[in-house]
Amino acid sequence: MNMDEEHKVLESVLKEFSQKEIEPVNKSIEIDGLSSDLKNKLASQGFLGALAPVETGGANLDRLGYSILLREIATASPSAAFYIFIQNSLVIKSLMKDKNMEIISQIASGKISGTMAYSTRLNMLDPGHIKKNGNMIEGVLNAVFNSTGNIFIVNVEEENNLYMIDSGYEKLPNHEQLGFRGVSFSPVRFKSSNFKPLSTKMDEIIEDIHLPVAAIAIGIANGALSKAISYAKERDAFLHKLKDFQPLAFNMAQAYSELDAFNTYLVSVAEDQKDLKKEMMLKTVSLDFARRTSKLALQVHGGYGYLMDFGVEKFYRDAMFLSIVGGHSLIDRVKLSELIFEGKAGFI
Amino acid sequence: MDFNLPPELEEKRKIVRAFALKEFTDDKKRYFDENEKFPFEIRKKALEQGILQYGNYWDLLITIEELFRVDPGLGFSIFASFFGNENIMLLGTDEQKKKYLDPVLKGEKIMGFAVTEPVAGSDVAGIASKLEKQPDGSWILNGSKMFITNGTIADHLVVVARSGPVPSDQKRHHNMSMVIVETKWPGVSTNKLYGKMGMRASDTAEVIFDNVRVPKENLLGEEGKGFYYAMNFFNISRIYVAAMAIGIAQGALDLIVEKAKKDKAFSSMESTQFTIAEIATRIEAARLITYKAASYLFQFNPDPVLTSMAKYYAAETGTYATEKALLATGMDGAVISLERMFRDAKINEIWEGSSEIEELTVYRMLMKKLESE
Repeated sequence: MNMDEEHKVLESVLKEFSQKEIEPVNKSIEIDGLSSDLKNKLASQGFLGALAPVETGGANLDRLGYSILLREIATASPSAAFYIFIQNSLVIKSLMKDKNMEIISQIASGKISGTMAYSTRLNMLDPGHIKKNGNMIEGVLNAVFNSTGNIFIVNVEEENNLYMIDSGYEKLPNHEQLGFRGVSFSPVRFKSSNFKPLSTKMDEIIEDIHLPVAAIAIGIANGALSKAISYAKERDAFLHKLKDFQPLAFNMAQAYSELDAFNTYLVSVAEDQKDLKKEMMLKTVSLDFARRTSKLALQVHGGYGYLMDFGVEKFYRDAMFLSIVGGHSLIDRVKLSELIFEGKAGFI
Repeated sequence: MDFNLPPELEEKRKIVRAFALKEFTDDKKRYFDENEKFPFEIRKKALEQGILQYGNYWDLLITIEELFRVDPGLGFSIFASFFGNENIMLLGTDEQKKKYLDPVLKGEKIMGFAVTEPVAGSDVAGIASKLEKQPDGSWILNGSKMFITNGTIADHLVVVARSGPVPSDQKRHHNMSMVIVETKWPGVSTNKLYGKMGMRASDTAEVIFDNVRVPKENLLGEEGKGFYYAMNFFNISRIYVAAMAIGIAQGALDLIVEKAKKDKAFSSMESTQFTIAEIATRIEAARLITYKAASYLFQFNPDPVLTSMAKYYAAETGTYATEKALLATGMDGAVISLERMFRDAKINEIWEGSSEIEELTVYRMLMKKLESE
């Protein structure tokens, strides 16, 4: 499937940006988090406001453009792609219906950052709980990404309404963090009388994350496989290059072929109008592909793959972590079964 | 045929598990992992309490499983203080054993085994470090070693290096020798490797030898047989790597079962039940191959086919179990020990012979066996 000229240009710009601005700081992203310098660069390119209207400083990308953005950034740094995803798919989308343009504009410019605390929509025994008592929202949510952000979108489950909070919160100590180490991750305690109701529902937001999650997953596979192929061309063992050995070459050739199919599949789904079933199907297989491919890439690198310096192990961790934070895997599989069987299915 | 372990081993399993559960607290697991520190204090306690019994191979196998089941990074740090000792045990003279083995087994000293090089990982025959014989019979060692366990904390290392020319491409494994090198000797320097994905409590380093003089009495075994000795060692160590991987897989199973006990909705679903059944089945299969391979090895009759099968399959089981358990437990697993186990597990498919090397060994030794039948 061929992309139009506009999207090809976008893809090319993104590849160049990733190479020039992200690759050189990749290790520090993993150790110290995304720097304000990199966030400013992401903002100046319009990536932090990728889904925001142009008048707010956003890029107003369509589904395909946004998918290409996430895939290409994830190819270099899954953490950076996840951060863009949080700002756009979770925060800006939550704010659009109520036309909170001032806040959206600040997010798009990188002046502030936000997050949606969606631990209640993840596979978690104790996601935490917040309640609304008169003019106070309080409680703790246990798994919050970008917990160092300035605004939080939270869902009061009893009434199933979203609220935006910009003060009266406390970031608690960080969790152990398997993946996306460039983005802070911790519980957050809320006690705020300064909140604003939003008319968007959390489930609308969560229903829209399948396509972007798939794009990040494909980017992870792409990044991991590119490194493995380069390494296999250079590394000698047993008087040959690694690429000369059938088990490695065949596995990488298989993954390369699959990657091509996944890219075509992504473009096809993203070019169409929203189709929940197709997006969930794409996400399911893309996550599996990202896990398999990053595992292969690490194996090809041998002991060096286990070291952060070689930039491969992060793909292995991030692919697994994305499989956990990219939705509730069990609920998603039940929902996909229902869509495929056109009725109740997969509940026993 | 009796598949039961002797009661004393089952008892030891309980003792080690109790030790690990008590000493490997959540705070310590996280601290040593995040800070990439070696747990000297925990190792000392393990030695004081007789957790590691080096003379009893089965005891050691069970101990490894149980330590890794609770935390692989801490478990490995304790166990690997002795890493490479079998070389001295099997090849050493009485003097070498007294000087280099006894203090290690008593826990007074730490040792390591230096085989891998920056450009020679699985390809041991590609080793380039050189031992040059001097007129007085001593050796001058030059070269560098990579991914050396205990590199910066070891008192001495068993080193494999080339002691003669490469006869031909087909005979690259000839002319290697094994020597014992004290790390305090002039010319030995180490760089700790930071930023490992897993096993972060353990010490891993690059070791550089710059004109290190090695006395002639520190040659282990016979000159020129280093490659064969190393392969022989891997036939032993791979059994222990298999036990590590089984321990990790068992630990992953424990954590998913723990969630199933707490969450009835989770445990009532067949997808959960099937995941638990699949992991448990693979662990059982991996354990059976490993114990069978171990039984041959511990009777001094190793079967390299079984040993490589055990290491290959158990390592794969470790990564499989941690991945499936994480997928099933979701965020609950991601913020507890399971995420660490997932990171730790992968190395077992790489070190002590990657899975690809194990498969090749299975094929080659199997063919040799079948052809001679």
